[in-house]
Amino acid sequence: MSAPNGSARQPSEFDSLPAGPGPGGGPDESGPRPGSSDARADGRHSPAGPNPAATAHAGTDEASILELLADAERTVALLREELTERQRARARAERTAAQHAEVDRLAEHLANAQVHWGHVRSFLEAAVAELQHQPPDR
Amino acid sequence: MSAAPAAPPRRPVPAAAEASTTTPAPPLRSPLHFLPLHGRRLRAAEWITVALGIYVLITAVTLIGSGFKLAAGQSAGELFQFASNPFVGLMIGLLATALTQSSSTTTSITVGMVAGGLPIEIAIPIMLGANIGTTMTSTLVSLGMARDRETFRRAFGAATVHDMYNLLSVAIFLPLELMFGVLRRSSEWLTAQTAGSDGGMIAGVFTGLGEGVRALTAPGTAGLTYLVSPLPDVAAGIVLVLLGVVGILAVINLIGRLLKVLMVGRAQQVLHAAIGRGPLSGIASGTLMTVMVQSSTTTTSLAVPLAGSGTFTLRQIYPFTIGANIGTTLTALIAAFAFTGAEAGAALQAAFVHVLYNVFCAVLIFGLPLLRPLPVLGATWLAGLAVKSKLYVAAWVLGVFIIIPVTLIMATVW
Repeated sequence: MSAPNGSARQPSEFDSLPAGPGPGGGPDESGPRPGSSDARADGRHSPAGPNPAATAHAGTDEASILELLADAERTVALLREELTERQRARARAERTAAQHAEVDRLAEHLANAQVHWGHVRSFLEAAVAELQHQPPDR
Repeated sequence: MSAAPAAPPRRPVPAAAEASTTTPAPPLRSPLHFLPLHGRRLRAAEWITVALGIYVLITAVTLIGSGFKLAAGQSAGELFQFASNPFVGLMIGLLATALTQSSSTTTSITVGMVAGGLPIEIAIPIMLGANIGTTMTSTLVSLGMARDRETFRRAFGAATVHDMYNLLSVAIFLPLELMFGVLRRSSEWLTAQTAGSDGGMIAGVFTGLGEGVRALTAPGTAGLTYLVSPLPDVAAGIVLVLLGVVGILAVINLIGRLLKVLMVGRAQQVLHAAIGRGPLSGIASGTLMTVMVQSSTTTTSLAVPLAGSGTFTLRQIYPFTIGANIGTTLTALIAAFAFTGAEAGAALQAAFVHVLYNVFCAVLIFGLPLLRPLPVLGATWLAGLAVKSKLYVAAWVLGVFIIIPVTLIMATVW
């Protein structure tokens, strides 16, 4: 569930992640947040060019992001599976309840479990009408 | 200009309730409701009537056996020569059951005739045909749900899954029987174990039961035989057979209606217990339900509204109808207790044919994953056609249950 627009953003575990490039692959407009590890590690701000240590650190960060993403995907898959299973179980329970309810009406069904010749005649009349390409009256 | 009063908004009706409104259900009423009895006394009267009904059933089967023997003498086989073609025997069983709407009637009459001398080879196809014929009733019941397309698709599918299963059963077992005598041999063996002189304790129990029943029913049979004794043998035999057939028709219907009322609570317990427990439970509940109401027609017709409402799927209904086939074989077994001696052996063999056939079919068709889905697929296909055009339904009902059997029988007789 996403938060409604305009509501205050709640802090999440992702807030501690390094800020990467923005959408479209360009540099992040907001830049690194002051005080974050990104501000220290980002090679773009080094006057002497890319720092190998910083690059290695960025690689480690990416790996941890990928790991977190994989974790998140696994969690989502598990949650979807759980949801499907619960939906199935609920459908089964509803169907079973409906079946028990139907069996509770057994006396009515047993009374009805016989040929109603009036219905048979109406059906055959409708079939004959269909044969003659005339729509039945009813 | 006054505005017409607005119609109240229609409350959404669940599918199950919608289906139930397509056919108004009369209340389940005891056939003895006219008696000035209530509660326990009415129940006692109903149980006594059931017991009397079973007595009449057994007596009627005995009458058929005696009458058939009297009328046909030693030439029962010749009399039924026209049915020696197994396909004609099959069609006779099918047609007789479709007309009486009771496979129990056909099998009980056949048991009586086998005891009276009808060769078992002729009786077997008749019993196989009875299985197919009994499915017509549920198909006709489903026509009452034709107002709503989806309800009708489900209801007709539930009815015809039994047709498909029984047609597949015959397609497998009739050739097997003709080639190897599977049912004749296995029923012969089972009869030897239960009624033969070397059958041990089981045979002793069966023989004891048979003799007890025979002692009870003998006076009725002897009385009626005495009444027709002034007639020539053939005429007396025919009268006895007719009396037996009428008796069976009358009591099987009465017993079924009484048991519906008496056993509805137990049947509910069985069905509640079977829900959600898989296909084997479905077969068991169908068997028990049919044993309780003594009518496979009732069980399979019951399946139609259950499926039509959409609450039970066709795959859940399918094992239930297989169970109905097995449960209905009890009637022929009861009928077989009408005889003693060599007649008892023949009658018991005929009853065992019916039992074994239905058990073998269930094991083979439901046991083999290749065969198991075929009836459901066939019924789904036919139900799809049925909602497209009523002509398919009319062609199926009239063709399978009336036109083909009558044509085959006529072509053979003339």
